Amino acid sequence: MDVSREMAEQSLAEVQTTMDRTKKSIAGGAGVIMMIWGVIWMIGFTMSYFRHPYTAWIWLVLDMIGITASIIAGRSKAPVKVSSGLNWRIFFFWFFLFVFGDIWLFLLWPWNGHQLGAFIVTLVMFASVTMGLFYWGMFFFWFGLTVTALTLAGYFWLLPWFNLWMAFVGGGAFFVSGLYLWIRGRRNYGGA
Amino acid sequence: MAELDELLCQSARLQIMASLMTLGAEEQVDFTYLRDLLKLTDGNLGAHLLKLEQAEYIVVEKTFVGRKPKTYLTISDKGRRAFKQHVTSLEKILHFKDKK
Repeated sequence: MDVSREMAEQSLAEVQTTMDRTKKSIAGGAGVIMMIWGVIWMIGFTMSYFRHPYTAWIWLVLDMIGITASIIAGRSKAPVKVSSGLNWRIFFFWFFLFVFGDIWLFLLWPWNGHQLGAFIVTLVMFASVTMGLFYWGMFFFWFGLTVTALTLAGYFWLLPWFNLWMAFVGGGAFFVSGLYLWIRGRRNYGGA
Repeated sequence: MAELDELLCQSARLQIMASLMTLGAEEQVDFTYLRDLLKLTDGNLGAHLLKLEQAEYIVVEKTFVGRKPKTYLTISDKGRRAFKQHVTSLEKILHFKDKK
């Protein structure tokens, strides 16, 4: 079969464009989940800042809402279905991440509320960096590093306002990044 | 001269394969998602998928989610190899004609 230079060039461009659009539209599904957690952080850390008497319970309820909403969004919005084997491996990754997080917290006791907040946030961001490197893509790698840097900046330089900082800068970074991924996904998705 | 895969010389089929190539080995994509992404009709996409399935380049899984029929697609190892070979051949054509 004889194919001209222009045809070959056009075909390769089509391949590249389609691969980019697919990656961006699939990542858009994660954007919804990130926006959910952005809102949860904003509410939770704001409550922590104002030392609401039921802060611990509010965090528990918010986390439950976040996990449930993430599962629902992941199942209903994601165009990609992963095998049950991979699903379980991802589940166990998060499960053991928090098991180890609890072990470290137990070993590091005593800690205060600010240290606990910074620890949990950086633990989740460590997961984002790792998953970004191996599975989700480099956006999540850089996102994890950025939020970690913002968390440390707040912890070392703005400790009295740390929770408020985390609410709007940490939660805001989550929400804005999620919104960016979602919009980019919609733009690259023909059905949008 | 580089060996091109005739089945993948058709633009829509090449795009279907390019899209499926971005998935991991344990991932499948929904039929309607692919249809909307590539802006194809149901019939058009179905016809191309049939050809790719007959060549064993893709695996089609039909299932039910609740009462709704769902079709999930994934690329086979044979499909991955064919796609990579085809892209390499296209690149060779480009370089060959550049040198001329």
